[in-house]
Amino acid sequence: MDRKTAADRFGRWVAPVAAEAGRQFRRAGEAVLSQTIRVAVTGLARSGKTVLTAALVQNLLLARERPTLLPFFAPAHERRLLGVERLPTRLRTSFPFDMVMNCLSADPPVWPPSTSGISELRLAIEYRPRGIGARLLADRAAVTFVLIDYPGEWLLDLPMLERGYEAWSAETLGLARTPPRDALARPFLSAAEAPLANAPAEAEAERLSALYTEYLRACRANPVNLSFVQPGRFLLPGREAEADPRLLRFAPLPPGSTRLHALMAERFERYKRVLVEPFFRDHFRRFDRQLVLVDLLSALDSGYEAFRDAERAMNAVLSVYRYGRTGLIRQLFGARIDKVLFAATKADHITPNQYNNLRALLEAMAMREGRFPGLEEGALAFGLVAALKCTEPAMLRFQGRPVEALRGVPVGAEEEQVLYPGEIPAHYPTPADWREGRFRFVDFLPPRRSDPLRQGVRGIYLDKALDFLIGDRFR
Amino acid sequence: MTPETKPKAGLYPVGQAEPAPPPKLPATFEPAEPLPAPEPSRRRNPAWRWVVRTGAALVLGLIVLDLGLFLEGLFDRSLALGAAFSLLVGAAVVAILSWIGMEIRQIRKLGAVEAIRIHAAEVLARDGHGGAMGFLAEARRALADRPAVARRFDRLEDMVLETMSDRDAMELFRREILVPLDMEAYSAVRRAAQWTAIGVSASPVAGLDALIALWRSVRMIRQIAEAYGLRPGPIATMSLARRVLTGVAGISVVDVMGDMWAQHLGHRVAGLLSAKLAEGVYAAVRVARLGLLAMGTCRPVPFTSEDEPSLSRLRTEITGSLVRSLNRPEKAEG
Ligand SMILES: Nc1nc2c(ncn2[C@@H]2O[C@H](COP(=O)(O)OP(=O)(O)OP(=O)(O)O)[C@@H](O)[C@H]2O)c(=O)[nH]1
Ligand SMILES: [Mg+2]
Repeated sequence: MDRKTAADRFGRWVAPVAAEAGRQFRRAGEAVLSQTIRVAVTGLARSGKTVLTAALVQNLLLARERPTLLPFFAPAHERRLLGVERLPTRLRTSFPFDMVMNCLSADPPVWPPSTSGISELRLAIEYRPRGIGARLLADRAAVTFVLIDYPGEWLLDLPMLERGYEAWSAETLGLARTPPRDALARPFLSAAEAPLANAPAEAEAERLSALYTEYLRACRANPVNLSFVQPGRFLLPGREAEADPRLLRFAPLPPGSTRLHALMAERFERYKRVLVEPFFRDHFRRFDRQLVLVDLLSALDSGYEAFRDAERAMNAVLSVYRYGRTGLIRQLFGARIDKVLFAATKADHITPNQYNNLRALLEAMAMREGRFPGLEEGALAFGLVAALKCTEPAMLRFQGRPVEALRGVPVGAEEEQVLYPGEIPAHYPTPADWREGRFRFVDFLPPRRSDPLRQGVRGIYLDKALDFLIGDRFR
Repeated sequence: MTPETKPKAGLYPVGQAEPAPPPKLPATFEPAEPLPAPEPSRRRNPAWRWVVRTGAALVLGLIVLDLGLFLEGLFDRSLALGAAFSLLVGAAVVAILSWIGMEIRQIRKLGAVEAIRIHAAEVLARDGHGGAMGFLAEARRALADRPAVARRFDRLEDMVLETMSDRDAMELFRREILVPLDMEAYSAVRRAAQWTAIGVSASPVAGLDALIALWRSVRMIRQIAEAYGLRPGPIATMSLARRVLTGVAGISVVDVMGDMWAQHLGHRVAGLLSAKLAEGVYAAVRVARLGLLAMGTCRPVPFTSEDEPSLSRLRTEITGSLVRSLNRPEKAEG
């Protein structure tokens, strides 16, 4: 009797302690298994960063209930996802996820507006660990998936960090003097080569920067559609520059030693110090993975010059990431990015029989400037994605034979049309590849009645991209 | 590559462009080359064939004649009796014919597996887009006769998009459809092998063990075929068994059955087990090997080295379960 009550008492005492110890142990296990993974979505303006970010997140949010949505994302198809939720952001504006999704699911659906500021999205993904070892530690673990969205224009400021005013001016003016830019740059160039000597430097800086901005706008616009425009804030100032417009009152000048020159050089440095450096230091540091989005199709569509220019812009940005770089860039980024995925975006603009060519072309373009020897084997991949599939397959009858084509509503049109997008060169193209009628890509409106809020965003290979970028962290 | 072979890239109005329906790929598949004719079975003596044929005709004729006379006699006695028995005989004939028909259909379906397999190899070799859709439709017809499998096909069709490469679609097919079916077939093999092991080692009479092994093998082959969407009756099962045994290129039936002893049961293991037990394991391994061959025959896509079931694993499982089941009573005694 006595012994039993003693045992009882002991049990009553020890049970909660044991339970508490178990809880603590589990919590510790969860902490060990929990981790944050940051993915840098790197893409020039209009390359599809915002839509893709929203599509990835929306599908992840639905992945537990609809495992068929992401068949190649291992944690989803292995049914190991336990819950996915958006977390409040701490330091930055949060990504306008609901706004983007509302645009895509409106009737009629519209594309979200171009991004004008920086924002962050944090997603907590709870999952069941795979290995028995991990499961002994905790039966649930979490990955915090962090994405940053920003205006693509700002990305091109990154290579400016490595240059002084003189070098930057020489480079930029040299570029402005070559076709097809020379025609657009004429007003600015003539003003820059012969600044008004007796005007106050301040007023002259304002006039030149306005002309220079005009020139940049013209570069980005139809029909040339160039990509390499620096400084990015001249086109998209952002909050800080709107508050202090003098940050943007400078322009490249030929070598000289006038007061104007000194003022410009000083402003150039201030622009870098106040706008560019903090942007990259605060938002781009400590990334684990990189997703490089390249809108190859728009680049191809606008002609050889536009294509080469898009390549120049992409390479200028990527040169910063390439192996062997030291100095400021190294400090900003560290050497943590251990996986890079190049993805050609808007793959729904071409027929599936061209996918292999598109991938090959992307690889040819990315590898032209050299390799990424800092990455391990298998850590660099080339793929294609579409955030949102806006076209359906169709057949075009041509000389009695069916030809694969696409059906969708082009931007600006009311009715559905059939697009024969033509063939993508599988090699690095020469000017001769821009034959009349060889390829043609048009923007489409988001599909109607696709119900992305409940059905998920039907894109192309979103799951493969996700799996490559973060799948290996769900151990 | 002359410009005339391709339309000019650009937009076309829907009406003018005669958009055909989306590329529903041919659901039926015509192999580019005619299927290789099955190897002629061992030449029989033509005289013997005639003996068989005439014998069969004789028996059939006798049966028909006998039935006719029998019915006639009944009609002589009473119209009602004759009519009732004629009906019965008619029903029996219809039943037998439809049974034969079903068996023939199953044997045909067995042949279709071959066509599907060639189709799958072609889709994989082409490395294109959209070709997998036709294959999946065909595979669905062959495999999805059970609601559970049909549901899995529904899921698969939800995943496979026309934008997916054929390799990816086939990978999903493997993962979503084949792997579960493989597991089902594999567990049929394991069950049959374990059962045989125990049955043979416990059989008191020589000869009974052989019967047990044979009966269990036939049942196993049927279960495997059922896992892969076939539904063979006795005749089709025999035809399948023949296919399994002759399908092993270069290995004669005797080899398959014969070399097990040396290959899979070294002296050491044999020494550890009692002779009767060893006999059971020997028979079980034989059944298991037959089962794996049957899986290879029924599976609509050839195994890759990655998902090939392994005989050595099966053998370990069989031996383990046998030793366990035989140890238990001994322990209880001791
Ligand atoms: N067809 C198709 N068009 C797309 C897709 N993704 C983006 N687009 C088009 O590309 C445009 C730009 O997409 P965004 O996601 O806003 O691009 P972004 O990189 O965020 O652009 P910025 O914010 O200006 O840097 C959209 O308005 C669409 O017209 C896609 O998956 N398919
Ligand atoms: Mg954006």
